[in-house]
Amino acid sequence: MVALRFVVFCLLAACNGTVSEPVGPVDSVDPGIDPRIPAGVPDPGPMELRRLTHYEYERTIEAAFQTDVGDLVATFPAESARPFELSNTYARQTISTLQADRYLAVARALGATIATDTTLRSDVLGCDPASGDRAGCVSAYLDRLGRRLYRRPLDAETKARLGELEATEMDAAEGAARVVEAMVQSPRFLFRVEIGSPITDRAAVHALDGWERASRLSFFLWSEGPDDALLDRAQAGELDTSEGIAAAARSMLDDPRAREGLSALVTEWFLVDRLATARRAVPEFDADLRAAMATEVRMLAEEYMFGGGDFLGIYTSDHTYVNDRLAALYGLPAAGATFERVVLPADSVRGGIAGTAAFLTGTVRSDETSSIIRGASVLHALVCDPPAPPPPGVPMLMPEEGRSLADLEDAHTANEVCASCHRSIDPIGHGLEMFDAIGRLRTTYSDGSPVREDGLIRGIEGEPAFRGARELGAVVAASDLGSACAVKHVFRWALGRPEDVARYDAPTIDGAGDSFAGAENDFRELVVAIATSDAFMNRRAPLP
Amino acid sequence: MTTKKLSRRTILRGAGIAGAVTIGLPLLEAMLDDRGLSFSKASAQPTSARRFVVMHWPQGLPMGWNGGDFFFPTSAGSGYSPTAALQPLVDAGVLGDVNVVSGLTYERIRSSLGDAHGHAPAFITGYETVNDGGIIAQGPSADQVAARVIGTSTRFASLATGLYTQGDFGNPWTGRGAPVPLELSPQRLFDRVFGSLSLPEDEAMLQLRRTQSVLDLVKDDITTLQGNLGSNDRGRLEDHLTSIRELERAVTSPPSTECAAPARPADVPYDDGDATEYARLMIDLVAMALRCDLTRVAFVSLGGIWRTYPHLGVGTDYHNVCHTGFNEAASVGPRLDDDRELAAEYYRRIGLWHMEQVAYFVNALKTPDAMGGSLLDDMAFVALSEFGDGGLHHESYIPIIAAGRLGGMTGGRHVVNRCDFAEGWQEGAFCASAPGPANRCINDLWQSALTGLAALGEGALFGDPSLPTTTIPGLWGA
Repeated sequence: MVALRFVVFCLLAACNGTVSEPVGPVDSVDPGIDPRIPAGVPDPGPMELRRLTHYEYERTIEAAFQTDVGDLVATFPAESARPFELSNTYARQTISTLQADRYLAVARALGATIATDTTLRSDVLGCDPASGDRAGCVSAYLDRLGRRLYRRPLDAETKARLGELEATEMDAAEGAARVVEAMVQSPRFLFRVEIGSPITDRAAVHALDGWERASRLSFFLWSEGPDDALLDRAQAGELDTSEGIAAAARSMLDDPRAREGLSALVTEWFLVDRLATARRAVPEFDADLRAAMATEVRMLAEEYMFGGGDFLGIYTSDHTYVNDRLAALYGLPAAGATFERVVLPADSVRGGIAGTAAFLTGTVRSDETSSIIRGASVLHALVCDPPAPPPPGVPMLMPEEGRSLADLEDAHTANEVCASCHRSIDPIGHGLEMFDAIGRLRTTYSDGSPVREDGLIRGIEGEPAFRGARELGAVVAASDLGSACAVKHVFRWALGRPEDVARYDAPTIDGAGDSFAGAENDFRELVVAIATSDAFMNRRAPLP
Repeated sequence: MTTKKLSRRTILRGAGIAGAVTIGLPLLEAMLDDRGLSFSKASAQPTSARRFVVMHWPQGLPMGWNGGDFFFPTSAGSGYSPTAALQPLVDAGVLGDVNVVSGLTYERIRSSLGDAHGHAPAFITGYETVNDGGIIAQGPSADQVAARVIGTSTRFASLATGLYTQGDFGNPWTGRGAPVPLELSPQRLFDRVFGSLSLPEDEAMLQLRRTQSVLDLVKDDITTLQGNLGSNDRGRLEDHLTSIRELERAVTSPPSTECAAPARPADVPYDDGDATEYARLMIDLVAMALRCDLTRVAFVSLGGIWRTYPHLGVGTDYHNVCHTGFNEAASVGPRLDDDRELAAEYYRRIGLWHMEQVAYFVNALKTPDAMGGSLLDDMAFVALSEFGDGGLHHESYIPIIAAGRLGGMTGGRHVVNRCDFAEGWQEGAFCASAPGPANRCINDLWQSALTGLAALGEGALFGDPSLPTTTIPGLWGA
């Protein structure tokens, strides 16, 4: 039981169970109900200043400066989201001194480039202040770059200050470098400032303005800041209505940037990001194989997100995408180096997202599979029904000589406190035990004893049994939980916080769920529904 | 669209340190001998500078069910027989410089969540952790408390560094409960700490002026923006402002004339190879930063709970090793490490490797300068883990090495605190008869160090003020 607590509690740390009353120096960690908003009226829920994630930062810089800063961003300290939390969860976002140091490093590199690369300078700034009318060019590029990086027009005071900074350099190219360095370290760039303006008939709720909505849309769908065209839409008032937002969202979804931007959501949702740090003592588990695993999920997800079909098919698909490495791993007929769509054998236990090597690898922490971790991962990622955190005073079972690992199940079920959760968690993992720690099929453990294969989901009505990933996917897709879990993940990605259905997010979650179902589970319509929700278009008025 | 690629090289050019020499180990000697580092000048190391170093290794040591006598000696005071885990300190000739501290626990501030690892931050923050749907630590950690007082006059208020991962539950925490990220790369640590030292003076001054004017504007921007925002967002920007101020202090301090630039180290591969060189490089750089008086507070974590240790013959990950024999990370079927005896042996090997790094650090700090002084003279040094036995997630039996002659502390002793732990292990039985209050909270350790460092206000207590925190006699002048 002891080690069990280690593993399970680590994993379940992010689940939405009881909220402890904070004690000590940390201010409230749970903003909860806003007393200014009357009970029973729509409440957009809490919102705080959101920092650009590292991925958003990198893409935004690259788009604005036509410059790849990936090598530098790779040196940033890791995002501090907890297991199963998305990386853009704002409650975890801070700027440490080390992070500030890294932002400075990128700023200096960009500044050096702007100062020395004449062509790039002209491209980025729209004119070259180092040749011709310096004052005119500076004024123009401050407006242009300011709008692009701060995602709204520069106010006069900010513009004046940047102008003063520019003038501290004799050389106009160096002046531009200073401006760029200041802009990319500004809180107006690093954070998504949202203030909005009061709505006449609603207490303590602000409507976000067009600029703020453009940013929300852009980071939600593209994982980067808005481009000039989207800012033009904002300026023209096109984002002032939900119809306008829906139209913008639909056209943005047709843009290739949506596939890249939303693939970041998929990567985290289905635990593909864990491949980056996964360690296995298996020689095959090299960088190429890991990359192939990630590509498979991305292609599968793209098909179901953007193909116009039923998104829930991602849980049950009878086909997948493989290259030579994955085909060998899966025991499929040989394939080429480029990915191709293959139909899996009809009796395959593989199929759907849960059968991908990436998911099966991401649900294991080492060379040994774990029914507990797999089970908990499925509950978190596929049905959004995480087990509650353990109650206070869970007994610490001391190890005893002679206790074998095979007794584990008994240990869980013999102890009522443990059993209350583990009878839901463990049997899910059992149904995936035929997959090893890198997602290969196996029939026996290393000592020759047969693997378990009898899965059971107690959290789904009827407590359906299953064997293998495809049957698991079918069970999930057929229940309301699979669809609701998709809605919740898109919500979290859009808002940067976990949903709280009990207190304020029910209208948004339920409304989006209805729209999703009404559109025959077209993922794009789910995105549009979230983008036009009260929680997305508006915010609680800032606290005084 | 053509995309220009910026590499680390570019950034170095941007920072003006192109062509920095790359060297291998041993770094410290290279810095000392080849580079003519002149930190030995009397002026480079203010004699009254109080320093605080915390070293962390993850997942405790094998004790309890698989070896209670591995770490804790069985007699108190000086003249005890060193245990197996202390042998690396004997070998490095530093056993006489350190004290073993036993009998401390953070049972009383383990979280009521019962979370095995979620409560671990308490060992260094002195507060129970809370849960907001994820674990949040309540800070600040002891090193950060010290940094606020003794870190105000150096380039860096504190340095937080580690190997491989962000501390594995051993990292500093800010007062707002956010983890302080660790610098994991020796090369980046070097660039950050010593980078500007390698610039020619006029270039350094130019860069300083430019950075200063840019950061001035950023600070202006933050405070202006704060005026438009709600209270919670103002708080978030306050953190940003604090970071910018600390960054400003670090990058705009005039180039030190006392401390010449050491050579830029090669970076290390982040694989499961022998991490000894990696650990030594990080330790050397931190020791050098302390010698150059660039910081007076440092945190170093050895990290790495999910890695294997092939150079120690351990092919399964450290986490599995700790939990072997009752490893519920496994589910059904035989596991790699069902062999409890073998796993205990693995655990001891990894534990010894950790203790070797502790010994190396103490030795690096002990090395005398030209004036015959040593960093240990005015230092409180604590090496510890977040657990007693990692396999048990035990918040008692915390293995602690305390060093530094701050407050006239002498080494070579086993400082025993009375304990009343239920398990009745060898250490438990031994410490049961020690004098003083039973089951001292680990907060008393930090209280002792921070008191010795004069980093606490009059009558102030470290950590949860509802606990009867006191100093421990014999530690740093207490």
